[in-house]
Amino acid sequence: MKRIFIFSLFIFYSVECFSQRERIHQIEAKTNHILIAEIAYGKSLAAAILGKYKIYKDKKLNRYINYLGAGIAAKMGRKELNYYWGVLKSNKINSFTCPGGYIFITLGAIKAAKSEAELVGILAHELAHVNRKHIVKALKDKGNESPLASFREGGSSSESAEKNEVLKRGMNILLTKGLRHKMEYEADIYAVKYMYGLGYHPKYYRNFLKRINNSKQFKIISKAHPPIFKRLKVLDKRIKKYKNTKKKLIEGKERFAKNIII
Amino acid sequence: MKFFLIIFFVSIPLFAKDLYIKSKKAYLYQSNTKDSKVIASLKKGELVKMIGRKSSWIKIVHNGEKGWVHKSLLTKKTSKKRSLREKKWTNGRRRLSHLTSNSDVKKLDNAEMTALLSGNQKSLKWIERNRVPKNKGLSYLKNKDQN
Repeated sequence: MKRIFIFSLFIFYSVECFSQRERIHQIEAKTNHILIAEIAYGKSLAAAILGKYKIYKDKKLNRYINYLGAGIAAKMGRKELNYYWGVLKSNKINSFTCPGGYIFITLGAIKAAKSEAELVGILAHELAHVNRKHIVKALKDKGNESPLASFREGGSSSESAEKNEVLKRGMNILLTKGLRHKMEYEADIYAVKYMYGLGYHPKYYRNFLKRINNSKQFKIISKAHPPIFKRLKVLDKRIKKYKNTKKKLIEGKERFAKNIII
Repeated sequence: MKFFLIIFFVSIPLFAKDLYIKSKKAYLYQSNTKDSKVIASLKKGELVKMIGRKSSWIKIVHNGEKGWVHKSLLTKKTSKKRSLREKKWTNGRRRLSHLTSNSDVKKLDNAEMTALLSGNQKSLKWIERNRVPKNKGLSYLKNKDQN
């Protein structure tokens, strides 16, 4: 009787362990599918952005942006993603984030920055969009729970129309509609957090926003963002926290000046 | 007696103080309680003259009508005029046209969109080739003080 009991207990546990493993595999597979779809979608969207804006192929500048970006991503980014950073040939102050780690900054935005801390602030803001999956969430807005389903591995050719539709929506978000204001504020808050973590004072990011708000030199593409005075209010609240910090926070003007010669 | 009454009525405009309605809407009450009759309804920014005060109620004259308004609904300053920029920011559609060129605001038409969707794979590959490994980037950031 005792043997039968132990044997049945053993069988029960092995079945339970097996089903648990299966469940974990299923979740992993699903997560992988979602990740693959996100990267594939981001890549297509990035290519589309590069169809609209020309890339600025200055090796020194690109190297600098890539090193900075890689550093920020290494500390603050998602571990499962590779991040790609590019400079766009446009004098408008703007930056774009595509899901899957494709991030672009315009030449105008780089010109408007005055220190490394400001540049890191912009890049950190964009990184936060990737980390928080804002574009994917924005695509889900209209009740479509899996907008990137057509980008999953093994998608049939019949899905290309669906793919184009999702890409169109993504392009409209990036170029015309913009993200929800809530998401932009969230990205700003994360940017402040990231900057502090990386050893840059978040006040420089605030200064940058304030300056471009007053600047007439540059065409500010603010359509995709909330009004800057509102963003400044949100930032001020966060920056207050770091007022009396003992951590060494820098502006990084020297290295910036060395690398940014436009 | 007549003399004092004349003095009293003449002195009212002299001591009257200009105030403005602060809230969107304010009721003018017959007496200084909320339960009294409402004589008129005043709109934001309207100019009224203060002629008396009792606790938190202000006696005012507006278009020849005398009545009481709660002090919390009045202000000494004229209603703040919002700047043009602020107005534009608060209005989503205007905001678009304010800070962007028309071509950017204009929704991309189908032909343009189709052209864009084919994308620029060459530039994308160039960006992918220039990717810096995370560890190198991290050490670059750590050396920010030295560089």
